[in-house]
Amino acid sequence: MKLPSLTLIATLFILVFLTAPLFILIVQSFTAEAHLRFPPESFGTRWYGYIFQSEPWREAGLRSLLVAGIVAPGALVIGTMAALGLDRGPGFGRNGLYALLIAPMVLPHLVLALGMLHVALSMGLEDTLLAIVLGHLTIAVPYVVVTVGASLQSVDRMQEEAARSLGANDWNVFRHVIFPAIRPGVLGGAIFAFIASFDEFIVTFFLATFQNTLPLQIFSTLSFQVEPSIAAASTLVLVGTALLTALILTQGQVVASGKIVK
Amino acid sequence: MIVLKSLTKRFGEVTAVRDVTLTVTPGEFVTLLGPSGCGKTTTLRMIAGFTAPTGGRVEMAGTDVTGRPPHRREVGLVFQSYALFPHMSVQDNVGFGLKMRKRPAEEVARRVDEALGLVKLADFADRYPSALSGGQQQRVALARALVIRPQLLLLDEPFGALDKQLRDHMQIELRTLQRQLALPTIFVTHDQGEALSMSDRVAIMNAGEVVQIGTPTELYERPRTAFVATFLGRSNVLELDVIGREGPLTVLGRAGLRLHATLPQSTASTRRVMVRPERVAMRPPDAGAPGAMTGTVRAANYFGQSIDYPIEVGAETVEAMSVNPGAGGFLPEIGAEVDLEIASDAVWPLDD
Amino acid sequence: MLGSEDGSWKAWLLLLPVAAVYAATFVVPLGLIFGLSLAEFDAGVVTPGFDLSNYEAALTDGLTLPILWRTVELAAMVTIGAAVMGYPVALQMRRSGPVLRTVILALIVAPLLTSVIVRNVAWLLVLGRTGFINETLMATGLISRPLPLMYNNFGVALATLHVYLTFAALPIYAALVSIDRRIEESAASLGASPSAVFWRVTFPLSRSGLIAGCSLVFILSMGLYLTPAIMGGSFVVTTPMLITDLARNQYNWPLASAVSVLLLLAIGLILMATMSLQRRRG
Repeated sequence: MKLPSLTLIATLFILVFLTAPLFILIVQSFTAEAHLRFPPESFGTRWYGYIFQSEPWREAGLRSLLVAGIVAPGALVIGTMAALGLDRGPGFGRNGLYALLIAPMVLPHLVLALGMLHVALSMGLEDTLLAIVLGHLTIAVPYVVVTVGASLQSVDRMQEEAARSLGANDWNVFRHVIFPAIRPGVLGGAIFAFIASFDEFIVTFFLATFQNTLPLQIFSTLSFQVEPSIAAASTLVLVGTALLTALILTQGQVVASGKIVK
Repeated sequence: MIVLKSLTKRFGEVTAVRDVTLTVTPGEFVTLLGPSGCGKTTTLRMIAGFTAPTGGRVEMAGTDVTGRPPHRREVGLVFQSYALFPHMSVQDNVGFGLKMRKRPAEEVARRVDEALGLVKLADFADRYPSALSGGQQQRVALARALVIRPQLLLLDEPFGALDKQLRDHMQIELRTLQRQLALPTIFVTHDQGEALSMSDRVAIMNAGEVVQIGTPTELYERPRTAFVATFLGRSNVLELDVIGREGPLTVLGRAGLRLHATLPQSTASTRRVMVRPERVAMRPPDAGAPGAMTGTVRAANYFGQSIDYPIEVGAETVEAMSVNPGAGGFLPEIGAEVDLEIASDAVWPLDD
Repeated sequence: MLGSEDGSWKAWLLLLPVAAVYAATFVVPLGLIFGLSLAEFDAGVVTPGFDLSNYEAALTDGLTLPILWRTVELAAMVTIGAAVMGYPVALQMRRSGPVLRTVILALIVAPLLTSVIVRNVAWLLVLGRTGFINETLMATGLISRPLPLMYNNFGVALATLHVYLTFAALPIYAALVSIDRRIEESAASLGASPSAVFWRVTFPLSRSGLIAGCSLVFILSMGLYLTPAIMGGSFVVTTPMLITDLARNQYNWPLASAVSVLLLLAIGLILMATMSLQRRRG
């Protein structure tokens, strides 16, 4: 049996590959120097102070939060409804419809962005928050459709029918039977939607001119020079998403432990 | 009173249920029995309102409810999987239907307590379904269905997931409770033993149609068709020639087989009849006995309380079952010759 | 509605909001791109029409096709890397106990939740001229000049791999866990060595997951813009970068649209190829 040890070594190597760059990023972000070098000779929070005081960085960060803060709940509602509709809709064409619903996830975002810009221009919506939010919604909804769709598979139809026979109408069936069962999927979809929006680059790049978001700000600073502010901002994003994920996952766990299935 | 009138369901070209007509009188326990795919579950779903019939109607207490959605039907449902809500405690499960009816909290609490007392689970109110055994889960499902005081109780193979002993126990308990509440009940099962022991009446379904309705005794003793005869209990279905008459009896036979039966006059040259294996008596061979039928024992299948013997008589094989007589009783060897005796009232003519 | 076959019109109602959003941001935009790709473009003026000259230009300009080919090459590199790295991880997850499995799964899924641009910045700091690797190697005296680790296919592929490895590993893992262990045990009881069990039973049974994961990584890699832009500088040009340049700098929307359609076509071909691969094994 030498295969197990081989796969274990490979796995460890790959896990290092996945995580090491992020550690290096975090270390670098605490440089007190004017340029990025490894290892930094002196450490400090100089660049964090900088990005919090710099108007463009602050504005971009807040805008990203605003957009993702609108997009995530929007995508959650629209995506959950869509997943539910798909699950309960007529049998024919379901696979095709599902493929259509998740297509924006796999299609090159650039092509979508190009088309969206064209629509936005013709409606005079370019460089507006509305256009950016709508564009991000399309990117984020598929994540919710996938996670909620997957958790809908675990909903016991018998439970629904039992509830119905006990007098529950559509809304009550959703609230008391379906929603508790799909809650982890809904929460997961919400995180993915938030991050998909917060992370979206190309759609914003096309739709926004002056409405900078954080990825755009990082990108445009990068094309100047690799300044330590980029590492600091990236670390903030990294820590923020990690905290968000952990928070919602533990909440999901609490929910999941409250109901014990079978 | 629950009345099904010509209830029919077609899925495209396929007719799942055809022309089912059935009345359940107050307090009656009626079973829909049939092999899987016979349409019994579709019938149940039409009664509950989950499936819209393509024809016919469902009436409850004189009102046509065919078009009424399930949540306004006042029907209590118990599924094979129980379908308890995993995220709710036992009392929340049981109280669900009352909350949907917006009953005041103290009434909900009182009736939930009552229902849990009825199924002997008063001490389990705060537990979650996952902490209950199969039998307890089933009682919760039953309490949940009863607490809404339904006009009709529907049971969809509720014992399927229980092991044999628990199943026997729950059957008795359920039937006692049902009698006590005088609650009209429709029970769906494919288990003939269950159907016979529990029901006031049984409707046997095959290929979407009710083929015969009657009390368990009627169906077992006087099945109309070979399907009913073989589906309900074991039986010998024999196709025999009409040989002649002896007094009021018709003589039937083929090869070495001779039977006497009470048959209506008919000109048919062959008849199909049914004989239950336990009505086939075996004796040690006695060459002198008049009219004796002799056969050869082909096998002996031991079941403990009884033993089955396939016996070859001429070209036919007749199944005989004898209750285990214990030591000293007659237990023929495989390959031995035996005399068979079948009383005329054990021979029942079939329609088909 | 929910559950009863008789009210599926309500299910359609639930699909209305998504239909409205997709119409505005997905269906109509894609339609417009198809339309534009057939329009005429002359000195900055777009005339709607039905004209294949943009496709003709794209196919004959000696630039679009080589870039598309390079994009495919890059995507293939990433895909092979993702399969080679994703498979052992998936295998290890299946073999591990619940704790180790959860740890690996968390670390594998974590990148999905990490911003792409953040990860690119991280790789920049690792692979760059003054990045972690070069600085370390120079400091130890192993090399005297920085290695060219980025601004080439290698750097782009590595950073992309970091982003997309998960998409290969998860479907492979899903396929692996669905294999009934008793099948492998019967193979072993019939005399197959552990490696024979793996290559003759486990691997063939996991093929569908491998193909699914690979096709997903391939398709996603074809649409890359950000990673090649950051990790490749202007030295690695992919089709999405070409389209962006055509649309944003040259304002040649019809040609940009035509190249977009070609890109979608290439992706469609890859999808069809993997679908027929999946079908062939039944």
